[in-house]
Amino acid sequence: MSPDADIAYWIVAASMIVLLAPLASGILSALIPVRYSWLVSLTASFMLLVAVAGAVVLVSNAGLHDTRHFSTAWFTLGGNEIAAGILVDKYAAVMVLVVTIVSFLVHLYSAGYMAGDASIRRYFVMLGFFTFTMLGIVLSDNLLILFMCWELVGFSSYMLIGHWMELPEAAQASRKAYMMNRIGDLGFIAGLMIVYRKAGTFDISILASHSLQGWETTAALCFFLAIAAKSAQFPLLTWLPDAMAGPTPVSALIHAATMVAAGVFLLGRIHFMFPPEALQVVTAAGLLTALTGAAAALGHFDIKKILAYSTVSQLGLMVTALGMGAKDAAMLHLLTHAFFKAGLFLAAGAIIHTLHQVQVSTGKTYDVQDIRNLGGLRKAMPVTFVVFVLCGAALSGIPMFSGFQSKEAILSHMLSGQGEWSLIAAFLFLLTAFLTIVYTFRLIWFVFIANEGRQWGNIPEVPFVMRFPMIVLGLASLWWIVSLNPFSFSGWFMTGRATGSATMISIAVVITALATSFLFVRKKPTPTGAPGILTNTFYLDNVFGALVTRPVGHLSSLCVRIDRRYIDGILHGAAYAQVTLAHIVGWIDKTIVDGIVNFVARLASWLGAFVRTFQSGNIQMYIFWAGMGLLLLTLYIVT
Amino acid sequence: MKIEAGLPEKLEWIQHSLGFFGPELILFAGIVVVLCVGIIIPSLRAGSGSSTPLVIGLIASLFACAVSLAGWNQETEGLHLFGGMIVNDRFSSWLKIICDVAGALTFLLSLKDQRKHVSEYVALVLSVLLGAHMLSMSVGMIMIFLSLEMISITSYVLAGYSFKQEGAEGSLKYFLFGTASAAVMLYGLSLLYGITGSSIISSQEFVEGLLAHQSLLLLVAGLLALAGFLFKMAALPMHLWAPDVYQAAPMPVVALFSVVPKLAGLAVLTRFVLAATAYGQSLIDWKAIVGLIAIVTITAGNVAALRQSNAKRMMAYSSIAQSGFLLIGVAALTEQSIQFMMFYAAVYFVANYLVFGYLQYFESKGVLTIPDFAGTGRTDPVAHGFLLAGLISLTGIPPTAGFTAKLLIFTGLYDAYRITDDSFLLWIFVPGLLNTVIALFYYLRIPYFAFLRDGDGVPAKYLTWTNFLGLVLVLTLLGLFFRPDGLMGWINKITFVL
Repeated sequence: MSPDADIAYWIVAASMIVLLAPLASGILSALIPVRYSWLVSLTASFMLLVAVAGAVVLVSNAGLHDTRHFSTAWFTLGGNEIAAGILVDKYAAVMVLVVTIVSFLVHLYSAGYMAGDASIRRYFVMLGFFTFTMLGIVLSDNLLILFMCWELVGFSSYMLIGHWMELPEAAQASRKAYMMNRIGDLGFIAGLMIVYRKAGTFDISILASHSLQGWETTAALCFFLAIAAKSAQFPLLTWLPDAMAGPTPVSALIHAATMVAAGVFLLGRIHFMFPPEALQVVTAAGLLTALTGAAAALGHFDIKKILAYSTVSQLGLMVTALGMGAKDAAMLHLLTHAFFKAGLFLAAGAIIHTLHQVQVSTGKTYDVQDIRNLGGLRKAMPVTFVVFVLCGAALSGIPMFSGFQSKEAILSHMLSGQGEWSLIAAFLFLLTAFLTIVYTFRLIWFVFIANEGRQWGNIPEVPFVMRFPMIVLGLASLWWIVSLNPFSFSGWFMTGRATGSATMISIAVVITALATSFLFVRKKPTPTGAPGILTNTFYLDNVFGALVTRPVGHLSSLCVRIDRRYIDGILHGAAYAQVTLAHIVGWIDKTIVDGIVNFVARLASWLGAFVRTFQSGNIQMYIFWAGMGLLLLTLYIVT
Repeated sequence: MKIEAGLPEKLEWIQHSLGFFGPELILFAGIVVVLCVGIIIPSLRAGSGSSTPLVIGLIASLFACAVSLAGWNQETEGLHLFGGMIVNDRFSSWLKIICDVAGALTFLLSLKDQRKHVSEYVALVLSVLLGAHMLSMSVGMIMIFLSLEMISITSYVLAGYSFKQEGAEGSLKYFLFGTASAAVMLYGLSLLYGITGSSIISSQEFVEGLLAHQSLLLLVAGLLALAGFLFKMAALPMHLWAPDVYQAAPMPVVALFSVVPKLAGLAVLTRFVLAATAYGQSLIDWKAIVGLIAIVTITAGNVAALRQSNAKRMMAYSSIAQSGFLLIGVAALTEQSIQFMMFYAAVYFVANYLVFGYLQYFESKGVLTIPDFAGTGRTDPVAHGFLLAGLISLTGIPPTAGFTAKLLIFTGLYDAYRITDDSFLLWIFVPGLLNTVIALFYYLRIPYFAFLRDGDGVPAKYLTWTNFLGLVLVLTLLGLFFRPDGLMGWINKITFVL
């Protein structure tokens, strides 16, 4: 085998393993009998470890510099052949690694977190299925299969948000997430139709060299609608905080590290389809989202909600970077964010898990996710504290952590750009970074440091199976994940030099923000809330209510009224006419038809009586009548 | 023909003819054997019951049927036997097969109510079958009279086989009425012989003689002869005996009467009408006469059946009406309509035996009149389900073969109307269809009482011979509805010539 063919073989085989191992995990989880449901967490974690191994083989063979494309005919539609295949480039390779590793860690973590859950099998089935479909999005070489997987991740997200479906807020949240994603899917389908009509193919690598003949902006905006819904961009962002009603590991995997990043990934993959006008829309939406998310994170008290808004904000940053053309920087931030945000969620999950157990043993009830009820956990849960701080520092973009490097990459690109537009973007970016530090500091302060005196008693740390993924993710939040030089983002993933001003400004912002936050929270026993506009996310839900839900409601009630008054009226009129007609027909039937029938019946019975009068039982009369009959017959025929 | 030949030729002719007389010889042998058995077995001689003669009769009739079937493929056209007095063709073979199976079923039904003088009973039934065989083949006037009387006289005895006063009365009435009609028929036949100079109705002389004397006398003579055949078929105006006799006779005998003499009479009537029309050259429209008789018979039978409360009496009028439907095939008188009539005969036979079988079953449980049936449908749904199948087949409703048969017979009539453009056929058509509706009312009275009226039920067992026999007959009726082509394929081989 030639080296090239050899590599191709390994790439395809590894891709299949990567794709099928999570699917097998899901199927296996469904097949294991209920009695042995504890086995599920073992098998599922093991299958995901296999997937991680496959991903490593895939990346080591594909390398980061080549784009590899394997395709085979799938089916023929009329004269057009639709192909299916895999497309591995740098971003896909990194994404495969991120998805498999985080998914593996979350599977492992879930083994502890979900232990004893009644429907643990369904949980692992959906988790495996989600990982499979997510990898499908990453590896697929054409938009059609990508769309199918896109729909399926939405479905598994729906299932996992609503895992505890007996809770009304979980059911409500899963429905909301699904409905908002449906709005985005509308855009995706429209985009697919435009692409197929104009370019005649779904293949991404072929599309790159095709013109859409004037439909570029429309198609790009259609796809961006889908991306915005999936990645919770303004204005379709309110579903993500609500989605925190699902289990925390799910929030870490789907609603922080992978699925919500799928929109960013798709934006990177079809970046070539976006003309400059569309990219301006993208940038604007991204900046708005980043600011909205960061501001909203300041106002909330629920740990998971704060982290969710933080995710929204960070995704906004990535979208902004892509909108400004910083593809590498955006993907780098996606990578670092996946690790540190997953770490934050898992650490938060550890707190929730532990305090739930404490609640159960002490019989007290309070909202364990509310930071006003927390504080002083530093001593009680040292490992969780360290992981939280490491990941939080990365999120804040403090030097020596991965977040600093990826943000620096984005900022450098912005500052090197031309025109006021870039400067405005850079300013807003820095504002977001500032807010990020403030809310992260506030979060860590009130959860771990404030209220030292609060007596938690003897709180156990979470078991090792949960601690291990947290520690791994905490370590992955350090600088070395990007580059050996903690102040440079130029490493294995991307090359480039930070403009000096970017580094300086970043560090200045960090110091200012830390100082501000410290002064702000010092001596405060409990966190203060923010204005309603922040806690309500700028009343986006109300706006949606006013702009979408209520008009739709009005429209539907209008339809109902039209239906009642006119359509039903016509129907009732027709029905009345029919009933009237039926009465007339009934009358005719009764008097005329029945009359005839009764007459015939009476005639028949009269005839019968007449015929039977011959049947007197008297044989002489029989013979007489027979003779008469013959005579009559003869006479009748003769005459 | 060869009547004028010398004695050796005659003997040779008879010897030759006997070779084609297998079924009849078997029946004859059966009669002899069963009489001998009756003498030999002491219990039979004492007049008490034994089923041995019934089994012998069953075997004889089935054997005769098998021989008829075996000869089916050899009889490509009519064989004139015994000096032309008898013609053996597929038309007669088909009727003989039906009669033999009917005889076998009669014996099966008789197994259930053993009566006195069983061997004589079997001999008499076999004689009826033998007479029916001969009558369906007869074309000579002497043969017609003899075989018809053979059926009649044995029937008179059988009618009284309940050994009750009403049985004796029915039997006597049957005898008197039958004698009168036989006299009438004989008078008509003798006049015809006088007119044509030939006693063989299929002969050329007979037809030529008819054509030479198209007169009122011929019409009267023909009607008088027809009266005898109509008597056998229980058609108007010679039907008056039927209700009394049916009511008095035992059920297997009634079933036999409703099929075997009727079909034999139908055979000879068909031959006679075909000869009388002289292949369409006759000035007298015999088809119209038969059509008139048919429609009057159907109507009278149906309307009289409407108010009957005794099940057997109702079935008597039903069988009168069914005679009328059979006569429609003769009225159309095309080859196809004759074939459809044969199909109708087969279906009528199956449905009739099904109904009589169950009437016997209910009679044995004391259910005699139609109101007695009230409530029995709930306690014995299987029997009533099968009975219902037989009744709706007689009415002519899908999914039973009765529907197919009625459809075919009216199709034959309509086709004949289109070919001949004889408007009289259309006049039969409409009341014939209307009568089918009237028939619905009395046929469904038994199921109506059984299922919809409250009453005391009868104790029921499901795994009985009656139900097994009923199942076979019901399946036949359903099978002939869904796949009539098999039977029609057979019947299509019947080419009807004199």
